[in-house]
Amino acid sequence: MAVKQELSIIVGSKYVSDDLPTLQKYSQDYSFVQGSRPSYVIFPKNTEEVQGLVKYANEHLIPLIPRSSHVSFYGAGIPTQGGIIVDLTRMNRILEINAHNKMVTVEPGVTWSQIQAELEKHELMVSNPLLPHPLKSVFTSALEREPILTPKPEYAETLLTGEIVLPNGEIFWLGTALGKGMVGRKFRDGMIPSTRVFTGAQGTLGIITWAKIKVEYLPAMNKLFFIPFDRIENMIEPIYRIQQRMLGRECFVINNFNLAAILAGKRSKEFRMLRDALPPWIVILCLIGLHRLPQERIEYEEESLMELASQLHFQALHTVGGIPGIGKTVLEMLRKPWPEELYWKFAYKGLCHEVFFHTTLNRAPEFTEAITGVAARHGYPVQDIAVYIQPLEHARACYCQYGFHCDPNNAGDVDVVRKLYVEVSELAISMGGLFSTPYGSWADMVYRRAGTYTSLAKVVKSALDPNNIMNPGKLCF
Amino acid sequence: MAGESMPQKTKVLPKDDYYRKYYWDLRKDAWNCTRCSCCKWIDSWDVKSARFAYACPSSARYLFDAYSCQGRMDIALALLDGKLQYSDSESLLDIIYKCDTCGNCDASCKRVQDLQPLKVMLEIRAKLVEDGHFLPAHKAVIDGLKKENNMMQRPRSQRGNWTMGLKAKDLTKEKAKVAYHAGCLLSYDEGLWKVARVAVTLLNSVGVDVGIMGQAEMCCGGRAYDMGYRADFTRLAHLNEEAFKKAGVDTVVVSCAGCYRAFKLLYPELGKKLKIVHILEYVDFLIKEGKIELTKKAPLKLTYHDPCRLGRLSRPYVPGESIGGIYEPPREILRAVPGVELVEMERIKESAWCCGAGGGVREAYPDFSFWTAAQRIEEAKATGAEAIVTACPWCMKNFADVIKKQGEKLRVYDVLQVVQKGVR
Amino acid sequence: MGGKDEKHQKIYEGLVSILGPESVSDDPAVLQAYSRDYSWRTVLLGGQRPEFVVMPGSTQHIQQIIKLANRYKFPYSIFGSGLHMPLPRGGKRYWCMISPQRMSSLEIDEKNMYAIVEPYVTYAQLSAEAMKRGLIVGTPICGSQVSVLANHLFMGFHSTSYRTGFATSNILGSEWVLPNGEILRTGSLAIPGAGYFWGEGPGPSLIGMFKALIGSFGSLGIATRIAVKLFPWIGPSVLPTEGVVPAKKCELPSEKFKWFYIKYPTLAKAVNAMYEIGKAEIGGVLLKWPTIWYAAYAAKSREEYTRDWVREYWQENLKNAVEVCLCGFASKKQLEYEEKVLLEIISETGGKLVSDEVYQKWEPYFATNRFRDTHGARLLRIGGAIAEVRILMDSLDEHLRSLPPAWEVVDRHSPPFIDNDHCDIIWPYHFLTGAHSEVNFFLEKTPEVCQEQGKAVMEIVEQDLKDGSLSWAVLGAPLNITGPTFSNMHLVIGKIKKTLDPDNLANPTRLIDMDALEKKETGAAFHFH
Repeated sequence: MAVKQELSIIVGSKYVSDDLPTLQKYSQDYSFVQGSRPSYVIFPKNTEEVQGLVKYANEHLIPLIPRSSHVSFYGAGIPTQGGIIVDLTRMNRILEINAHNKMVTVEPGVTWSQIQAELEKHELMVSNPLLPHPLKSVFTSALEREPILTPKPEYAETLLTGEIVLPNGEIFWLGTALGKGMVGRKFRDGMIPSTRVFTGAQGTLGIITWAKIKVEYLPAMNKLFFIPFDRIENMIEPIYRIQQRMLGRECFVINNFNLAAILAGKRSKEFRMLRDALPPWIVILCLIGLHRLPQERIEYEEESLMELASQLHFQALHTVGGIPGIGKTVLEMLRKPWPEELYWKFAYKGLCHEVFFHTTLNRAPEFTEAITGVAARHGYPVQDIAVYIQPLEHARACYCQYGFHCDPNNAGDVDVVRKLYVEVSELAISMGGLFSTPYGSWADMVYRRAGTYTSLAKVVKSALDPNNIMNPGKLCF
Repeated sequence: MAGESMPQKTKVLPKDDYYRKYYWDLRKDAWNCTRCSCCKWIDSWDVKSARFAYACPSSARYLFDAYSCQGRMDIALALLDGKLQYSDSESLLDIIYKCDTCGNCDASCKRVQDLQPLKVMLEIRAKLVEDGHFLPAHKAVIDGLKKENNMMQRPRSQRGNWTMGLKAKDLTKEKAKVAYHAGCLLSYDEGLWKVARVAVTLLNSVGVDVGIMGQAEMCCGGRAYDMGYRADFTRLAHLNEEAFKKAGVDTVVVSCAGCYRAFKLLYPELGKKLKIVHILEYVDFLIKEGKIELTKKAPLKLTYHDPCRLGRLSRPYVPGESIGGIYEPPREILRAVPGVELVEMERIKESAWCCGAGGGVREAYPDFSFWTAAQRIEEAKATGAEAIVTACPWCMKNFADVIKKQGEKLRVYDVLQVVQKGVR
Repeated sequence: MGGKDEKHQKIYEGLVSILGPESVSDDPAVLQAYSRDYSWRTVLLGGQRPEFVVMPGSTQHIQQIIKLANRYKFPYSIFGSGLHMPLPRGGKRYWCMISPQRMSSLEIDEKNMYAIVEPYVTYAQLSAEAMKRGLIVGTPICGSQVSVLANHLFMGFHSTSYRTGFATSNILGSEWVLPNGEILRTGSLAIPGAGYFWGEGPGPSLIGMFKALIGSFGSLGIATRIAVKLFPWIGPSVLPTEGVVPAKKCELPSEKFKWFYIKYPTLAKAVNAMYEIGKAEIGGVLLKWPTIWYAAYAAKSREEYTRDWVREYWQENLKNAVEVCLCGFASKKQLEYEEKVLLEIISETGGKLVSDEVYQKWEPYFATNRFRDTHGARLLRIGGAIAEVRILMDSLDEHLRSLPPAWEVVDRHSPPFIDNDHCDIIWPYHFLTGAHSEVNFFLEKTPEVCQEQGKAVMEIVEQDLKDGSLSWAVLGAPLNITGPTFSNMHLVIGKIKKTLDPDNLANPTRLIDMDALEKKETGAAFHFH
């Protein structure tokens, strides 16, 4: 029987696509990754269909490339050896909201816009990254360990447990989801291999068909602060101290470029004015009060913050850059996905390529300076680097993200950024930056440096996926 | 119903009485070592640095678990159960005797268990000796003890030399209420005579009716006991009791913590009832009564080392009661001397690190003894103190030997020597 | 064990050439100290000695030992403090016990709040050094004398988990020697020059192959160095103690720490209160202890324990009590605010503060154990062993569901199981993201009682497998027994084990029975770790 026919038996003919425009669409994304064209794009609806696909792929040794999001930024969902795209966006149900146990069970296709809107009705939220694309899968963010805006360990590790179709077609459950008789099924570390093994895997170790994601309560009250700095070095100690006192919820660093891009959105004319008005570096900190005596909580935290401000000579302000309503605007956006059609990262020139990695907060200035130097050498305007630094878990570490913008229709522009991207990445890794999720060309940079880790990863992969059908060519597989 | 408390059946308690109310049983104690490793470390709350967290010198030095208290419990059990024979092992004696019997393990254990691991180890030593297994170095010392009634392998005729010129009743000829018992080390080590002489002089000065045995003094037997030589200890206990009785003594005053513990703790196990006072207990009383006036300034930064036998090893074990001992009086005495700044080491009182001299270690394993003392000297130096002060001649001797060998500047004093500095 | 044959001699000489004679022993008296541990399992196993014990001083030493093992085909295992020992089993010869005492280095990155430890660093040592720097490490109730590394990789259920989580979330970069002799570095340590600061990645987090709810017992590799998370500490740099054991006090400054013990009429109500406290995100410590543990800690002797237990002192006063410590991380005003909120919750949920008498009997002497445990071994005092009947991690509601059936199992075995007032420990983690619970009480350390314990645990395993529950008993059973119920994961792990350790030398009688697997037999020659 022809492949298409057999696939149609599994998911229904309406959900098997092999037309060229569709295949073309799935062979590229917003990254520099040069992929190959898939043979089919399949849209399964449930676990049984996914399982059927996986078993089929094993029998016929056809690669499967799972994708949960409508958008793909880093190349993880692009085939390298052809194969079948398993587009999970049809599996977009929010299966259960359990406020009592602080979790939501979602299928892979549930997007940020979907989840936050739904959870808001229950006064809940998923701790989100910085203004995620509305069509990005919540699942993907959690699975790929995307950092959240709140540097509290109690909030971290948003992916709890889930159900996974292993590459051999067996269904496994992560963490205590294995305990089907249990109420909750939410502790992420149950049997070996724990949930951790399946995170950051870019779909190479199986297809997760539902996941439990941690939720938090929406604050009853908020008070947002902007802490401006002229020099990046000057913000390091204040952040450490703020985090040691466990003040506030969201806390992150953004440079004027990025904040201007967020505020301007599609209104590009305003962008430059905003950027020029804003200080070079801004720490955004949101104090919150939950449902019990929220005002009083904010009061004591604010007092503590001001004490630090006085000791360390910084200012914690309700506005910055003289921009009217900035506090309200940022607060409204803080816990939601990007609200507009044109994603804020693409508004400046059309495309943005980001280099991101983990390091320790005290090294963020060192990395920034080095990366800025490389950009300058490549003729990339230094003031156009979009910087976002996210302290993690009481600032024990941080996530540094550097965005380089280009006009996708200008080959020269793209070429500059492409070369810059590679050199900045090599530099960051040679300086000891951890590319925790090695997308695209980072995979080779990381894994050639991590010999035994790579060998063990291959042993694990081989045990789980002896036919190497799951997203081959990614990571070190 | 889920979440509701369900009434449980009638109380069931452990079958064995031993678990409901502790009683001493050699095998049960060895069996019930829970291998928690508390014995290797001081009380976790008292740990102030990673460096000075160890309680047990032998475990810290030799590292193999066999050299820790819990390892010795395993070995004791195996010997008792016949799972280990003497002939099986070349290291057995080494393991059993490379232990100062300082009891730090025992104190740590008693924080969490009702057990007497030190007693287990001492019983095993006694068993070894009884079964004919002992260290040659110990044998030489015990042979000397049998012959000359002292642990120093010196003639008994020289024992009284420290008393030359000293005004005190001769208890072989006269009676007195109080006997000052110098102990073997103070009697024979000329460098330490001053400690004994200061004590007698002070007792005289406050009008105490004190006498000394001089040449006729005999070893208390404590060190022999620790080495496993029970018969020799018992013989000396009987002789000492007789001698004190004959001299009309009702109180024995000592400067040596080893003698203190022997008289106070071990003699009553043989039914001997003597009133024992460490000189510092008395001096503390005299200072508080105003009978010793400390008016001279003695500017000294010093740290006090708690001798194990004056502290944690000086009281009988009663489950639930404090690991008693004399910890505060020496400190109060030192604080009373004008100009003295007392700084504490990290491991003090019932957690004090051993000086390394006890349990027959100094006699048989001088390197280990030295190492142990050197660790304590390092701890003392870390306080910034100029001197280490203690209340036991064995501790003093071990510290002084290390300081001399290593060329350290730290001085070693007995508490009374510091008191002397404060008296005009 | 068998005599010193030619193979024994070869191995011995090989070990001595790697480590030097002072770090190798095959003397039976030395080996005797590696023949039992705290657990009821070793009572049943009868104390088998290893044939060698070695003390490596470095990762490279361990690497060489493993390579030697692969050459001469001898089994090996490693332990931490020795509380829990991966003892030889099944009469296997030439077993080499790796004793970690020479590997005791400790470094702290104060700014970035982590510590790098080798296997022989205790919690007390790390806690002391951390506190000097305004930091703290989570503390297990087995006591702070246990190994940080071993505890983090084995269990690591910490009293401060409400804020600090459990050990499984707190491992950063780590270094291992795999059974094939290669050195593995995980997390940020995998990248040269990055250091230990982060635990996840690169890519799939392979630390999850060695440690989940519990660890892999050294069967897939030996950890030689790990970095663990530290957390902000607002207390004194040195714990203030007064008194002498066994009645030592240690009270933290009241302007920064405030303790509450709140009694509830039922477990469900206590759990409900905990949910409310978690929702309000107040407190530095939140947990619920069983009365038997309060009694065990508080008693200074067995007699005192027995007396108080029979008169039901702790049962009456602390049954279904919720324990909270408020911490002024931000300021003293935080303490005031949180107290207001807590009192509001107590009132709403029908709680009642314990009497001052009970408070004074407990708080000054034992509360600080939550931050550095020093009394944990008292749980082994009455009976000499501990039962560990059921240990579970999931939502709080799951504990409400699953504790009663566990109690029923315990009741069926009582006597000889000692009265435990339906032991019910509940430790929430990360603001009630979930919780850990235990049914765990004293066990009389006799072969008869330990056999009963074995039966009870097997009943729990059977009950859990039928019920679909993932308890510690299930996870501690060999994968051969549990794997078929869980997607045949034993086959996957078996393949990994076979690749890394083709001769099955790395702690071969744990995790998975490779001999049985290869013969395609169900069941396993051994039962539990």
